[in-house]
Amino acid sequence: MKASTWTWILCLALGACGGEETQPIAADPPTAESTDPKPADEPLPLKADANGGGFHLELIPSPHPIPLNLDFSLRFRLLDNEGKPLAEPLKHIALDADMPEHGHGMKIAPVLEEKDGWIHASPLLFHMPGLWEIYVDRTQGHLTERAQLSFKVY
Amino acid sequence: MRRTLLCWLCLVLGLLWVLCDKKTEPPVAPVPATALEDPWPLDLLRHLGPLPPLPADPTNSVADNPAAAHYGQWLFFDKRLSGDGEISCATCHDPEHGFADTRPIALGKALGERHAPTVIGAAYQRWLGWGGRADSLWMQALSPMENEVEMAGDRQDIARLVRSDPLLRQAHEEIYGEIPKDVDTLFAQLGKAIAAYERLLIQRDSPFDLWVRSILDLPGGDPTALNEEQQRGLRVFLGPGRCTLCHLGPTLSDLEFHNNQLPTHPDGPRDDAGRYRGARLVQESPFNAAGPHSDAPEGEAAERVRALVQSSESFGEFRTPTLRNLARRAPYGHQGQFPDLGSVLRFYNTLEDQDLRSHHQEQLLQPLRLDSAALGALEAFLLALEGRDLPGHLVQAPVAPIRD
Amino acid sequence: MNPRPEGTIGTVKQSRPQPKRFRLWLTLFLGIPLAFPALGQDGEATHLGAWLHTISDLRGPVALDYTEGGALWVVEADGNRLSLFGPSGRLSRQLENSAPWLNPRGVAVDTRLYVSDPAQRRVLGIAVEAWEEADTVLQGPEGLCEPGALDAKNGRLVIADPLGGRVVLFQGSKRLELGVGLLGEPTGVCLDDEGGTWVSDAARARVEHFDPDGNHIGGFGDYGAFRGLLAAPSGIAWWNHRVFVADRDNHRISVHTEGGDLLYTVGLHALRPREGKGLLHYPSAIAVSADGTRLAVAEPLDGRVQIFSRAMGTEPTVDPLRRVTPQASAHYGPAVRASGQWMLLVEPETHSVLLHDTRRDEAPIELTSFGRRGRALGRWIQPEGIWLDIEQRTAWVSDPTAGTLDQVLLRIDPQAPLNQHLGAAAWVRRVNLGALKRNLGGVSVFHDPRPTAICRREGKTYVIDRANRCVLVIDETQTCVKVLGAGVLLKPMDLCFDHKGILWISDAWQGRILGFDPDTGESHSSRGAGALQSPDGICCDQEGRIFVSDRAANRVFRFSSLGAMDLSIGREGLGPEGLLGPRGLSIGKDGNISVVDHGNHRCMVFTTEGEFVRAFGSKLHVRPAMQPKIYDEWGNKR
Repeated sequence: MKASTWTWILCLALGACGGEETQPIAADPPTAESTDPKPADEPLPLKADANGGGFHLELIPSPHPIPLNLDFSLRFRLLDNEGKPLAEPLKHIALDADMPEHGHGMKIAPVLEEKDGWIHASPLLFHMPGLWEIYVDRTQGHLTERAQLSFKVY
Repeated sequence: MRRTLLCWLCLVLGLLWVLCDKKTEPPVAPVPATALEDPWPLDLLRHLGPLPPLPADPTNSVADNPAAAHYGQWLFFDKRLSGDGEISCATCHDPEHGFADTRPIALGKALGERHAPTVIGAAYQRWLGWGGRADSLWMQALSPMENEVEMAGDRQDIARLVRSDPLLRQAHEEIYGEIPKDVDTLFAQLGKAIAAYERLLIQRDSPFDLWVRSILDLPGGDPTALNEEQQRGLRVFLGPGRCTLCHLGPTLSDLEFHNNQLPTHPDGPRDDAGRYRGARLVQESPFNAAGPHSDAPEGEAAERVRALVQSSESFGEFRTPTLRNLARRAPYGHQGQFPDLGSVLRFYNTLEDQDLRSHHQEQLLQPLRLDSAALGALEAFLLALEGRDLPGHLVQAPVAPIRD
Repeated sequence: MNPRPEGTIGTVKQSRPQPKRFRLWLTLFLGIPLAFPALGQDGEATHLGAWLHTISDLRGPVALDYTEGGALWVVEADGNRLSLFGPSGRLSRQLENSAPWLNPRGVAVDTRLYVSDPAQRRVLGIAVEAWEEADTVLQGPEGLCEPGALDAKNGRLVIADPLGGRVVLFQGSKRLELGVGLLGEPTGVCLDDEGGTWVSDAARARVEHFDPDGNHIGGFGDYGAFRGLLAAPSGIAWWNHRVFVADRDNHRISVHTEGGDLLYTVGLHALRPREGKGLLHYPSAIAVSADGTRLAVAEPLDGRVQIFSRAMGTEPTVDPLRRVTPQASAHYGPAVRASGQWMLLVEPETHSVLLHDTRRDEAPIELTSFGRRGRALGRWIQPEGIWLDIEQRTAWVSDPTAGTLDQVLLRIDPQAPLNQHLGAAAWVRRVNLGALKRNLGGVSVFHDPRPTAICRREGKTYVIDRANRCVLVIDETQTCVKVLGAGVLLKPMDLCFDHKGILWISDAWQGRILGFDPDTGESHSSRGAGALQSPDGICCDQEGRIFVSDRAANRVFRFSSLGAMDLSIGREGLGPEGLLGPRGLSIGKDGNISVVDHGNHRCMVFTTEGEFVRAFGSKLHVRPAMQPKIYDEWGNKR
């Protein structure tokens, strides 16, 4: 073949080979999966079952709905499967909150206090907009179980 | 011959095309013209403006006392509070410069570690200082006085000055009564007076405030206060700019702390602990909201400082700055590492200069990849957050520490 | 080994002969200021940071100590030997054959040589010239759980017991336990000149200081990647009131004052495969010579010890060309579990667990990650063992340092289109095995359980307890109903059921896999004795064949259903057949085996016949396997 022909072929080959690296096929654009966050008009108390079914949670935030980036408090109680309040020592109860989509929690740790059959927690602060989850953990012996509630805060 | 030449030309061009940087322009996210007609997200706008009334500070009993504010204004400009008599608060928080510093890293007695942030609007902040080392304006006013690289003063010397200077003594006693024997109490009182002055440094009625009033059907609004480009910029701010992740609230700051892995200034420390250190300092200080010098040691601010979590996750986090009144206070960033607004926006647009310490760091930010028109509109909107100028009498030292 | 002459100070290159006197004055003129930064104002070393040479081709160097004369003892755990290197790095002695230890882990040099032998739960004291006749200084099981790092000085001996969560101090007949209830995972220990003890605690990311009487008097450190913070500190040394810490997961050595202030760091993170020459990759043990002029750093995964000498001028700064990328590099943990199209992996350095989907015929797609560092529910000190059940959409995760076993619901529909699911995990419960007060299934044990590998069958959870060297059987009520293998197992690593219901357990220190009847607890049979060096991950296929990863041999072996070893997969390297320290195994929905190629920061997928299918993980480590025509066996461009 003539040299000029080879040159043409080479040019075409270079043009075909050049270009960006192919990007790997990306998954579909990320979206937050719905975790059934409590709507603002949900009647109080808010309710949830423990994820393993060991107890029930009733919770009342104050104010409701939970404001964005303003201190708030809440009270909650644990009930057995028949709806009777559980008499659990406070040291066996823990409360925390997270933003599961961001991988971080609150900047402050609420203090728990028993009063009038409820456990009061204060202060709490949801400082960023988005999905927050409140966790209530109960430890009995060697087992800890969790109930949780989700909130969309804007 | 001609054909051969043509072949070689194609070959060279082909080689150049292959070898040259093949980075294409990043995908753009322009705001289409039709989006300007979309309804505004009113709930989101309510979070941004208009600037609300100043929140009360129950930890400071003289927070809204005009005489205390006048006295505090005098102290703000009084260089005798520093060790060598050469430095006042106004040295770094320059009224000519938006009450911030022209230098990237503040220079007081010696070179510091961070940029001196603005005092304008600081009364709306929850934590003061880039690392949040103070939980009130008055607490924040105290630490620079004794910091060896800032004013390098000493509270004992300052107390002696107040006791010995007749005008200072008179001003102090008119507000607080007899000068306390306890130096720390006196020291705290000085801070509270300075804070009362700083609470007056609010620039209201920015074009955005006026515009958002009209959108929210509030009195005093002006629908023409933002031009088309500024409105486009607001769309970017609320949408593809993702600014409201952290810049949300009437000061356009969430008042909390984040680590955006900003590049560091050559004159500043590379490993600044930020909130990690600040949280410890504010919790341990006797001048915090829960301490003996607070006028509300059981209030909300006290509860909050007691509940602070100390965690190494906050290492390298710095307070989200307010976006109001940016025009006069460049440079920006906790080390003043961005000389102008454009450089800030370019950083967030590409994240190319992020200072990552570990490839396991969580990454909340993603490059925005906005085109130049969107960036320009965004900058125009940010400049529309400039409030009315402060009255002239507030931006200079008063004639005397006592009002006429 | 590539020794080079020790650094000199003040050398001057000259292009033409100069008068002698001129050369002398020039040398003094230049040499003194150059020497001053290294010597410091008071004549002591300012810092150790100049890479000197590397002792290579070591078999799992996990501990080291200097003699008074500057020679270096190195424990090569995978070689089951102790090696002595001279100051130039040349091998001068090796203690291996007829060794009195089963598996050496720590070494300390005083008037005698002390060696910890965790397999036999003891510490030996030996005179080097009669080293076969060792005497036992301390013996478990109640005294020691798994002795590791050691230090000895002036008649005092300290022993770190990471699984026991404490340090034991000997002086004469006096024996003290340090840090009980305080320490999480004491990985390194050293003595200072005043008789105080310094301990690096990997679980708590701290260094703790005890006085000569064993009282805790302070400490420093917190978790993180910033300079001054620590991430899994794994070795410690003291010299002249400086505390040197092997900051393992930050890939550097941190040097602190006794008060904890950071003075400087040594080494940068080795990012590319096999990088060295001052770049570090999981430094796990350190020693400083008696005169303070040498710092030795052991890197087990790379089979080397790097030696540093005094540095001149400023400490190493970050090369601006070595920017890290925001994507998490794949530092997979030891375990992998597949269930249906899902796959679970651990990412130790973010303290999280990753769920992937393998439905596409390519690298798995990450669906979600969950967990982070901490003690509360939803967090781990260090997740290690995992199990996955796609039908129940549930994962089980063990944290050996915390002694816990978590059950996590994954709120993802496996049939849904591929998507990222942030925040999809919901914790159901946590079993705190430590709260069982050492009463497991009616059996009293000596140590708090350290749960690691997990397997499930017919509603029961089988979890390895590394501390008590057994398998715990936990039923649906979360009660420990049985203990298997106690008294038989030494270092159980992983477990699986075969098609006949026999439970197979790999034992790294016995070099074999053992089968048990899960109902009766009786031993069934064993395989691989004499052929396996350090069996780790194990899995079984539908045909009754058992696959075992051998971490020290860098291979995966297959045993037929009749028990014969009939296939060897992989060899040391980075190519399509390369493995380095392979750990967990699992067989996926497609019938292929996924292997955590731990030392190579990737996962390798093979067919059951040993053919390479794909690799995924750290890009730098994946491309030599996926693009063998471009990259050679060692990751270099051809």
